Amino acid sequence: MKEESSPRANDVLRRVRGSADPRPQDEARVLTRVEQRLGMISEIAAFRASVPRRINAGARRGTVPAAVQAPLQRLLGAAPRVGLWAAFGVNMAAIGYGLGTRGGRGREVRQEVAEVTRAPAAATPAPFASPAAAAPPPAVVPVPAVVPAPAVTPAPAVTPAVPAPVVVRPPAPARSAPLSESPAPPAPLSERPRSPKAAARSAARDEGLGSESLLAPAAAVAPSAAGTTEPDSIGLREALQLLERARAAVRLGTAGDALDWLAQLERRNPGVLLEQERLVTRALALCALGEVAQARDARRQLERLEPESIYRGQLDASCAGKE
Amino acid sequence: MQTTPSSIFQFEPTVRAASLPFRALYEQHFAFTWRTLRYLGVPEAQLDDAAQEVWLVVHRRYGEFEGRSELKTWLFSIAINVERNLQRTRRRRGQLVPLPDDLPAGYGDPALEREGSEAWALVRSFIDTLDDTRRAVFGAALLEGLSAAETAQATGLDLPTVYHRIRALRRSFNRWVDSRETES
Repeated sequence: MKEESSPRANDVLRRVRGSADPRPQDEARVLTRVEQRLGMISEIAAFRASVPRRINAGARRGTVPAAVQAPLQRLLGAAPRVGLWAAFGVNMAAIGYGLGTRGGRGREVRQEVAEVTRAPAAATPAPFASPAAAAPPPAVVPVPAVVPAPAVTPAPAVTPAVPAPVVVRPPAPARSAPLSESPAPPAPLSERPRSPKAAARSAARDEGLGSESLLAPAAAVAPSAAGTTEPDSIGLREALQLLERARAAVRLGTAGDALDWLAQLERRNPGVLLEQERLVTRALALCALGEVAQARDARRQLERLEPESIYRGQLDASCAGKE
Repeated sequence: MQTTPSSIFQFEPTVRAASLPFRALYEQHFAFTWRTLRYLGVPEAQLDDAAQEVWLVVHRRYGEFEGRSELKTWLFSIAINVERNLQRTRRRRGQLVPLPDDLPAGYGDPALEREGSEAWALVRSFIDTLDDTRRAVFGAALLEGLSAAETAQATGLDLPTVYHRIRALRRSFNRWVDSRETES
């Protein structure tokens, strides 16, 4: 190139080049945030990997009816679809938080929101759009087409062994004592009074009835004869969204919001699916609020539910760790 | 940077053509991506977000990088895409981000920093007059010092166009600097 910059222009360019580097704290800060966001992706991947095992465990305990287990496996085995769902859930969490927040953190989350809205149309790679792409190629073969929600059979047909009265809370068959019967530790939602409907749904969950509503879109769930299905019951997708909102709230330091999201999830989807995740998130939120005793109680529930839970390590590192 | 390896990077992509692990890549090239984003006109207030986006893309796509182009041009092209997406988002959402156009408080000689700030203000006012493509060429070739061939790869332009743009940009920038000097 024959044409050169003038000496003055060269001097300006040289000075800009000499002073445009980031500071060390910029580099460290961005790395931390990248790690956090990758961490969200890895959590989803861990969850995805753990689901089939937990369904099997649920089937052994009788909390996931056999008739439901196979379609559930098929549904959750569709790794890319679940990955997208999970990503959607994470992003919806960001949206939910972004809409209701303020200040610097709100701005960060709104950036995420902008990413979500743009992701499908962007010709360039959307960094946060596909956790499945960020993770190594999944070994799971994608399930073709839509996995239909299994035909929801009336509750008594699915769980014939369980006597049906809903309002009366029978002892859960495979779990240890229900919370209400446990004298010492307070129930996790004790600080948030439950409505009679919620109590009824909780009872239904203990009977293993709630799992059906997780499999079918809310609209497709036929009200059971026992009246356990509420008009506002939600499916797996929405449950994931609520859970991810709660987890995002914990991460963002608004643990009170996290408990609200969890309460809403509990109210609207009293199923067994995601139960470990609910308990872990609750424990972490309670830790953040300084409610150590309740956090430990949540941990104990998790241990009763799944002694080999993959989340034990996470809880060990929190205030709910071993006393 | 003395950071311990994170479990997050167990998801580190398999590196084929690229030989550096992700973290080493980050440490070696973060400054380049940061500078590039600034040269591309990303507002200071959004630099953090933009840099995160760039490195998330790098993390996701590093395994696919086949070494057919220079690493720097690959990173530069990612930065261009991220900047365009941010720009599109800003436009769509009507968000006006306040632009502290001076360089962030530095860590060196205050006099040099002041000089750098003044120089940056001058350059910034110039690149604000450019369209996206010219801004990318200016950043790659004149500020970052990439060769014309590398600039062509990074921007997706053909080589003759890049030569032409570089010449034109040099002329324009010379005039811009002279005019500002005259004003002051």
